[in-house]
Amino acid sequence: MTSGAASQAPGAARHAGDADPILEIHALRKSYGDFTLRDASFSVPRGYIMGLVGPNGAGKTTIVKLLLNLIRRDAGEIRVFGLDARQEEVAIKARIGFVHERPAFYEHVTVAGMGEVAAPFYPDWDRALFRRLAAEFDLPLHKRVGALSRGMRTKLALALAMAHHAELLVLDEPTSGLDPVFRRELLERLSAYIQDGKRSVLFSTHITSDLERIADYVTFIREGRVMFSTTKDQVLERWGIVKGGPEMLDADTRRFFKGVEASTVGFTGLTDDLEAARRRFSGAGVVIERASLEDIMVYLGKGCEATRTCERCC
Amino acid sequence: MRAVLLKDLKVSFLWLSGVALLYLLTAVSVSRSGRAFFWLGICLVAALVATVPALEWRFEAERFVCSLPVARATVVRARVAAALLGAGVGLALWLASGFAFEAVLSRPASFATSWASLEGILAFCLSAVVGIALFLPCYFRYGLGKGSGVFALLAIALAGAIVTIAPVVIGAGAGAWQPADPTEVLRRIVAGGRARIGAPGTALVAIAGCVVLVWASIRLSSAFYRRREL
Repeated sequence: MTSGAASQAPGAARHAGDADPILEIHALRKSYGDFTLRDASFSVPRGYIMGLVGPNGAGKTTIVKLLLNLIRRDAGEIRVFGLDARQEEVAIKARIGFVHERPAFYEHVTVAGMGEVAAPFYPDWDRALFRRLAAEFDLPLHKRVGALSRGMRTKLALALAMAHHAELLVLDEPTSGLDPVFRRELLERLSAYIQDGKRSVLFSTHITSDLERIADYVTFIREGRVMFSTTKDQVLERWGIVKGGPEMLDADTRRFFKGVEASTVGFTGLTDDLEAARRRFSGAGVVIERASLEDIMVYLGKGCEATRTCERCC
Repeated sequence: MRAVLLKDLKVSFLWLSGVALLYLLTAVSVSRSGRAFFWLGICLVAALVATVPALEWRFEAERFVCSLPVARATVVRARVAAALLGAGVGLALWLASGFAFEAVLSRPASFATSWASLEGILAFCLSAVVGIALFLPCYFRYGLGKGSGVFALLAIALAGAIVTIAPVVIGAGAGAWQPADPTEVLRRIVAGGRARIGAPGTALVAIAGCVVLVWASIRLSSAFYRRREL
């Protein structure tokens, strides 16, 4: 389902999939004591999976909470299905399925009981689907939620999120705590979920391999800023890693990179223009390779304070 | 609102039954004193009202509830409705147990004439409604932990103010009247009203007062809860 998108300017946050967005976030701002989400903007097109990726504390959960109106935004706009997320909160939430980072339920209630608790809130609740999902996820219907492991709770949250035919799934770190087998199964299930082209998934994670497997779009967030939001393919095509000897790393070279890690034996630089890197370093005895999302997460902004290139990449 | 009430009932039914059973067990011994029995009834209402907030606090389920398709104002209205329902159930249980204990154990002494009177019932209802109206904004503003602390401080301050000011306002010319607790003040106010405007008029005024209190509590709770970050 991956499609092309407009090319991105270095360091700029841009909107992915402008056509028929299911979710639009514009200039979203939220300040806590020592954290500020700064003018976050991106959109999720209908029929695609958007990965919201960034290190811990980057602001991913803040965006999810703002989307669900669990916290109040200081500024900006959130539109879901074309509706204002604050004004039309109930109508929007009826069409959203959510999984929180640490799913919390009434622990004395059984799995089946949680289904009964959630059912009256959703006009499109599908009891049979919930039971089917519970069976597929190996969730014992008569087991108390308090007796479930963290992974099983996430599975319960997923079953609850999917059982009302949600058009948008908002998943906050859903794969952490899951065993590799179910993790892979979940990713496949999410891919299948959007196949009708009408449903989308916003998937926040710091496990980048999950996104590389299923995401169509990637929004990268770091220290409260959206660094870029574009198709995954474009990220993987354009971003690269350059590895070379320490003698090559002068100030000019540093400025070329979005992040650099240097040591006495060499450097690793991150670039968002792989072709330019190939032209620049051709024949210079360096290794140039495509960057993975993990590379981008690790190296983006690294060492940039020292080279005063923060305005370009931070 | 129906969905929230249904959810609250589903998740708390067993706990509410436990509270009622605990009340009955405690009431046997407490029924020796009419005043203690009255306050046990108020404690029953408090426990019934606080059960769902306590469960949500214990299991950190508030985030789950507020992620469901329900407006926070609806959660507030449902919680107020459930609290008033709890007060009604508490009153019914208190009256039923009072009559039963008086018939079987001959205590509390003169329950039917003294406590199950208009004065006693209105004092019970007013205490419960004032408590609910005060507790819910604290809960919605601060959550159950800190909210209960703030509520306790406010309740103590209010009770102290009533007990201190009442003799001056109501007891003027009544000698050295010193109320033992706010209940006595409420009962005396109701008795005074009954003497002046009759029982139906007093009941109507009390109901109107309760409606105003609940309305103000809903407004305040909604405003607080809308701003609360989960």
